[in-house]
Amino acid sequence: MNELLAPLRRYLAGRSARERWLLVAVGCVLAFLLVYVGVIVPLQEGAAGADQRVAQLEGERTRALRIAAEMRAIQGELAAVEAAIQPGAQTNLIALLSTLAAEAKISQEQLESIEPKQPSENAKYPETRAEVRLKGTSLEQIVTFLHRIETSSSHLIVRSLKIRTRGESDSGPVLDVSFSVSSFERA
Amino acid sequence: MLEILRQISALTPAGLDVSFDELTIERQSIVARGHTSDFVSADQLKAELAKFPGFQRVLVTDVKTDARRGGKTFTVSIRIGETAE
Repeated sequence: MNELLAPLRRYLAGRSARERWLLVAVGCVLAFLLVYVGVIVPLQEGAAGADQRVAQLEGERTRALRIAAEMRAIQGELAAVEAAIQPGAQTNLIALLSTLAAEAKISQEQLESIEPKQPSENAKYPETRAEVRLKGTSLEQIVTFLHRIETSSSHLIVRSLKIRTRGESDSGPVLDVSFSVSSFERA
Repeated sequence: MLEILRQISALTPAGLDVSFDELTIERQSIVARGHTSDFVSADQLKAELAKFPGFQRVLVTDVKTDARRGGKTFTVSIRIGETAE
């Protein structure tokens, strides 16, 4: 080792004290640059990448927690709906809607039709669907009818509501309404 | 369905000169044809309806001069989000 350093010692011995200090300073600067480029820069890049990955994972975690909360809410709603749907219960939908219309003070003249419709195919929850048409009703009658349908113990679902203003009366607008109602059972 | 009607009613300002001629509510969309005194009222209605988070995209289209009644007719189209039902 001493043999390898001997030329360097001879070279330094031949230099003045000022030159030696200058060489030491240049060596320190080069050593610092080497450490900075070879060690610090890669570590900084790694830390920045890690921070970015942490932020990405944090976002994914937040999204996963939100989805989990939504799933729990949906499962809760599904459980409530399943509890409301009686197994094998045969709801006479048309008769039930006629009764609810009468309770909402909708006259036979205003109740234009309640017709059975082709339901969707669902083996787990067989559906019964009916189309209701009303004419010359008031907004109050419609709201009362919809409220009675939506709060019915038979768990009815109103779809595709269409309201058309046909004129005005002393008590407000006169409306023609059509909508479909579905009831479900548990197979 | 009743909740959607309630929201439309609640969001429509009482002083706004707007009336609906036809309202169709489907599972994921609402289309309303209405009449108003001017375009500004239709635009204000759109802004008010858009405040409800369950109404994800509110558009006012087909604004036309109503030669019979005066004022303007318009169509409001709304895409229903998860929180509306």
